Amino acid sequence: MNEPLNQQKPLSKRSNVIPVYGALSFAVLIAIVGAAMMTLTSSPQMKGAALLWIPAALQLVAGVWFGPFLGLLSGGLGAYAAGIIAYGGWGLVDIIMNPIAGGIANSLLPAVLFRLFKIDPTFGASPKDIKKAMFSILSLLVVVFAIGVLPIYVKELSIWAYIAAIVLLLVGSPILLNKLIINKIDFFVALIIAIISCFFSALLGTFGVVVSGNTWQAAILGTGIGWFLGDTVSAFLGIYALVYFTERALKMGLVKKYWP
Amino acid sequence: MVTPSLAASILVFILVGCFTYSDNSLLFLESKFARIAIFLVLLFNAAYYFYYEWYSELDKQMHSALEKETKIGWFLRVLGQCILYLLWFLLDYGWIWFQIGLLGLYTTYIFWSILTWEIHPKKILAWIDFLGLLLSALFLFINVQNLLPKPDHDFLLGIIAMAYLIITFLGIYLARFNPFNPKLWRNK
Repeated sequence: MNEPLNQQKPLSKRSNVIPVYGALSFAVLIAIVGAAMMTLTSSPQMKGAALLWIPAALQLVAGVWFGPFLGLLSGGLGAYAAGIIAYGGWGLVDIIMNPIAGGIANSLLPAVLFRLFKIDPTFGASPKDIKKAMFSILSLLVVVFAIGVLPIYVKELSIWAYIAAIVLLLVGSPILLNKLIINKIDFFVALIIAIISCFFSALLGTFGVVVSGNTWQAAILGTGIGWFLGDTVSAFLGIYALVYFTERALKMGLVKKYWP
Repeated sequence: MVTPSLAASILVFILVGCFTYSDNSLLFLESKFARIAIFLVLLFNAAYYFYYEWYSELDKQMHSALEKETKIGWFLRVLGQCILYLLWFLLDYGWIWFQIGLLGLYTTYIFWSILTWEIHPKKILAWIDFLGLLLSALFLFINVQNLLPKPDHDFLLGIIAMAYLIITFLGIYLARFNPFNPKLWRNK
């Protein structure tokens, strides 16, 4: 006999298959969006090395929600499929740049680190607050980056530009986030995890370009820097998506709670 | 109707620009195409700035929101306009100073957006400012690194001018404010 509706267990307890469906759906989504990004924003140096990799947001979310194993499958297979659809990328270089960089660095790494530090993906904040935080931090990073590259051109600035950039970052971020009701430590750790993941992803991608016959210097300038910046911006979007959708995903049974 | 000071600002900005162009101050740029492209970059930036000012002055919602603006916000707007005017002279000093000026201009927009975040009726415009900041940083970075050989500089400058044009259009589209609406002109 069927249980009455009000006595039914939540969806998450009734089925462990839901996260698998979720991971599969994410893989398909990553493949579609990724193929479009690879077609539109590929580095002139290397086919498939997309400089604006929006799926980094989806890969991060997949890792955090579905855990290391399903996240790796979702992020890695999705990126591999994207490469195959966009330019028929089956080979060794494509494996390094897509399933390895996309799966391990963009999905598995955040999944493991978020769990290790028990980070609440909602940061106890409202989406409105997190939008302002994202805006402020992203803007600050762009200004810091611009000041950081200045000494290459204006030699007199030399070390002072780096000092100014670091001071701006250290003083600016607490001021900008001052009035926000948000778990700031979790939020900062999450941003650092996103940056580290994107750095490793860019490193693996650059290695892929080197394997294809380029020098490290050319690979870093032509692909690595763009890869890192594009992925970081997208991963930050992923953090915003986490705040916005995690509560709903919990109710749907897509996410198993790992944070206190 | 637009205030006389704003109308005068627009006029003076364009006149200074025409003078700079005809005075051959931009001759350090390699080609005529580059000179026109950089002239357009400045013009599009000014168009975005003045449209936003116009919107702030005439749109009722925006006007009432700005009444809650702090003193720092007011100073930032003054600083923004100063930097905008300085851009012509900075261009005379050299490429890099012009790019730093552009970055400074968008940084003031960003600070202003953060300050007015709670009261601004159209927060999406803050993201347009962010796009402008990103483009200015990219413009600086590409030039610094000299990623492209010289013959491709014109092409690159053309793309950058187009990108600023897109930002201006996006801002106008998202603000959805028609400064030529007869009602606005009649009320004043």
